[in-house]
Amino acid sequence: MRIGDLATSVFDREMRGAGIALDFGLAKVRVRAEVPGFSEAFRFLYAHFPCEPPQGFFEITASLRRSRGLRRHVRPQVEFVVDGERPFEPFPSDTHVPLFEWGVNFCVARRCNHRLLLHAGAVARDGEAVLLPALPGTGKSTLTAALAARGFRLLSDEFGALRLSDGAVLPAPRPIALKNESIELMRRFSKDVALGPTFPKTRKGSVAHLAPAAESVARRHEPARPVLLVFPQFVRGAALAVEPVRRSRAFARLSTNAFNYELLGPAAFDAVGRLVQECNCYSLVYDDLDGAVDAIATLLARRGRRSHAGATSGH
Amino acid sequence: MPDRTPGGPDPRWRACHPTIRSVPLDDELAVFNPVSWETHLLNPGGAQVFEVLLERAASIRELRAELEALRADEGEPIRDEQIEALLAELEDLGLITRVSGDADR
Repeated sequence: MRIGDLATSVFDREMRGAGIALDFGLAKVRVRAEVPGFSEAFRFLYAHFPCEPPQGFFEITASLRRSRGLRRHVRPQVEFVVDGERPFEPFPSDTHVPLFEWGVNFCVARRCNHRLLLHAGAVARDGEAVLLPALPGTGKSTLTAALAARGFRLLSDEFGALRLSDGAVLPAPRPIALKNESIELMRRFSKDVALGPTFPKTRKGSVAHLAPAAESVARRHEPARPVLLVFPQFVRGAALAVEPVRRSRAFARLSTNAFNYELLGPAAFDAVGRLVQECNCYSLVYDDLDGAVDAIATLLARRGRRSHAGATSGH
Repeated sequence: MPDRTPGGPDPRWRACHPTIRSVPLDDELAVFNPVSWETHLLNPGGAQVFEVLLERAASIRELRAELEALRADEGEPIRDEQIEALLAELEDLGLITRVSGDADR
């Protein structure tokens, strides 16, 4: 049964009780929550995920709970608790979903060190992955959301997770966090996007989450082969510009962009080396989302044609 | 300037560690130093020199000959001081070391 198939009251009871198991491919999380409104929003955003009882091994055991003490009567707060620890200060109770999503990202970045974790959006088409490594504020999540809305399979808007043994990109499709103007932008971009509630007073301004599509969730255990690296940069009013990036520059940018490059040392060096050797690398400056999506689709198609021509001439 | 014993063999260098990792990136080279745990990006000249020293020990004279053969069509002469400066930098990064006499020849 999928999470979205459960009645809110039933799902809320599960969340307040033993919790549920959330398997998003890259990691499995045991989630418990006793915060008003959270279960309903979570049920919408994770509607396509299977609802499983919390059994087996979990990389992350997380719960959301209301802060205790007198303050809860004046200005209620919510805490993210992972394995009994609180890694963050409490948030206002009406920002429960952003706190949960940031908390899970924090845990993935800290714990999934058997993968190389690039700070990157990632989508796939026909088994081929496009990675969008970028710093915060460069439009990475918005562009990832736009690509997903145009039929690319969402792998992640936050983690380009590479399997060290073969360099495959491992999916981690979770809700995409859109901030401020990006929320309305995505509403206009596609009428079909499933946007959850807007949380107006977070530390990053207004935040709303876009639920991953059913297909991306169903294929969350299906890796993709990286073939294209695009370093995106949103610049208001800029004309679309796609430029090749030298492999050495791509290497330098990726090695400083990864969450755990220094921790993994030689394994990370090998993984980044393989990635830049196997991918075509570009920078993309954009203002218009449609143009950016088309440009990436064109780069991918052009590469596909070249690969096919190479395979033919090789025989 | 490298130490030279009058009448003795030219000083020679080789890559420091047998487990140094490198990845060619077009005409440049990414190098991982397993001792310092640092990654370095070498430009085309640095890459050419370092790739020679990964294979065997070489003197400045031998490196100049290698580089001139690789750049035969560029026409610009390579000065010993340029190679010495590069070797000093690679040595400072812990990527190469000086070897004595005819070692690894």
